[in-house]
Amino acid sequence: MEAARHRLISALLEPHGTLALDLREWDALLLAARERGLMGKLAARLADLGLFARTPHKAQRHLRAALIGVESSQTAVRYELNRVLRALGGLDVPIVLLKGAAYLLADLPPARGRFVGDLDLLVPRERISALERILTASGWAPAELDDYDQTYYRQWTHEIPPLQHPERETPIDIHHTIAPLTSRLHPDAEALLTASRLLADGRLRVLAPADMVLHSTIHLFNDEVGKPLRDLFDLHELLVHFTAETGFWDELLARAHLHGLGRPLYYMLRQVRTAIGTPIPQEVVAAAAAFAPPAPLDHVMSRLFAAHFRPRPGFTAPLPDRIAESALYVRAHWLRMPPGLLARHLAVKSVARIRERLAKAREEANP
Amino acid sequence: MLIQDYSSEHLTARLRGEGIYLVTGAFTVHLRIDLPHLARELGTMYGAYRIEDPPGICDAHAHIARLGGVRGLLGPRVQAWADGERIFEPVPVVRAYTLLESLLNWAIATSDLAPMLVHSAVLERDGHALLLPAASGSGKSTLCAALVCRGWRLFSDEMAVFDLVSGELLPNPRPVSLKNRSIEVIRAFAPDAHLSPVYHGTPKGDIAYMRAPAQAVARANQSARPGLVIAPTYQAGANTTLAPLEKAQGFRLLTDNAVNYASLLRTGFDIMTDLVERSALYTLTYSDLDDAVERIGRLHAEVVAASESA
Repeated sequence: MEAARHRLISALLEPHGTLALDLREWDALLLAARERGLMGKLAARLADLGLFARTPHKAQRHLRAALIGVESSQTAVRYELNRVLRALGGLDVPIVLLKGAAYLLADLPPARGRFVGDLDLLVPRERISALERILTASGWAPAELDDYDQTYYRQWTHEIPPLQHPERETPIDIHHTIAPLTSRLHPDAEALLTASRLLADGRLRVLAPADMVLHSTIHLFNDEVGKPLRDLFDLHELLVHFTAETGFWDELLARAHLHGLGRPLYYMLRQVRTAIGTPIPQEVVAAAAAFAPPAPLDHVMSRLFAAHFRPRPGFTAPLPDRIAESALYVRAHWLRMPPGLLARHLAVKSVARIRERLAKAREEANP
Repeated sequence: MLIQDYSSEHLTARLRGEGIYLVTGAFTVHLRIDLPHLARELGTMYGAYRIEDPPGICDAHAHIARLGGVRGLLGPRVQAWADGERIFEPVPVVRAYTLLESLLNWAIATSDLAPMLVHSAVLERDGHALLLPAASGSGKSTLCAALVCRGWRLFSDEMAVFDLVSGELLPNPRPVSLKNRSIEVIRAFAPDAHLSPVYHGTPKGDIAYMRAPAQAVARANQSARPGLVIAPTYQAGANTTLAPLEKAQGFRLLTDNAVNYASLLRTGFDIMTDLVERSALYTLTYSDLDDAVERIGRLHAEVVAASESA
């Protein structure tokens, strides 16, 4: 397992090393890359260094497919954004791109070789319904959700139910802040908008570097995320990129204070260092340690996250890793909502799941 | 090594342990199976297939095992995993083989794999490939099985696989799936064809599989250029009618049946235009299988002759 972790991360960091791999090792590398959503990134790294043609023929087939898939997803998101802007016309609302779409339009390193599945936007809370009205009048429709899910989104989360154009597959998530309203985290949404930076097109914005890193951090460390190692690698690339900006690290610590996001920042810096080896200035590591939880909890969390970010070749994760996953799932929900709401939410969800199972069983019984 | 070179016990043990790297033409699947009866069925249907040894790079890691836990108490059922994820609803143990076939189809159809895919049966004769594009349930497998029984080389009864670089068709010969009435039709049409047992009560009704001829499996590394595209429709009582199709209509028909055409962007467009450019395009309406096979053979021979004199 250690060997495979080393292989995927070091293949991304030093692609030349893959030239020495035999086919069996390539097989394991490609499986880990696929499972962790990093196949496109690996392909892009190899292509950028002119190594693509020197990889095994069969590997090229997978890598090329991943690159095409990435390009296709990015084209779809760019196009969706183009349609959104066209629908909004001259509407005077600041639109801040988040996550994948931000990396893509701001041309940041994580965008290279990265699949971008949806379009995440941040707008001022008081303008969100105006935006929603225009988009629904222009053909977008809310994703099909039951009443409970509709209410859940609107009352308790930081976004409205995703919109989708019936002719296309790209979901649009419109947020008014970067953490659920019910969670114990309360980042300063106004400060996020004020500090956001205008892109070259003169219309779209992205979060300031420190805010962008903090947003990706809470998304990864406080939510359930499908591709944790991919998102951790995004953070690695952002940190390496923004190091070049004067005052970035001081700003990162200051914004973590302002938004009350010190704890997630601490976890992130620790994991990105141990799992990937990202260079972080000693004084930043020392300053972030002030946000650490008490030692016993720190130890437990560090073990849980380490399992979370470990690429695991093979069919099923070993039991300790699965326990770690369940623990993080419960934690993500715990952080997201107060206990009473959490109990209600999980109850509604499990009743829905039981209903679904029963329906399925009936279907199986009478085909 | 071919699967038939292994003893049944050895194959079963290996499938239960480290698994095998099963080569079906363009694709290699790392397969693990925990059920002895399924290992034996695999041995019968896939005897002529190669096992990659030592294993290299596969296209999917697949695993079939008996369902455990609470859900297993509902009756003996089996579950499939691919690349670590559970796929498909569990099926009763007696239909495990249908799950294996679905799993191998899935391994090919997932977008992670590079080639362009079109829902189409593909066969080859005299170096020129014949495509029979149609949605599933339109009887293309029946026609495909009939052509195979008359000497055409089987590429696939389900999926045309285009190499992204050369635009050529890659063979992926696998058992041909016959549903409901086509099972009896093919039994009558070719009494010598090797058919699997009939699996009853699947979501698509009864299914039996016709084994791919050993010769098609042995030549599964030889690709072919497309030459003729015929979109088939079975219609009870109809006379055999072959009608030429405009290039633009053919393009539309092929893209309608494509699996990942749109996500391949420019690459997909180039392969598709090249395919339409270089192929003769027809629709076929038929009810008499013998007559349809005969007419397709004649048309294909004309297309081959025309392309060789050109």
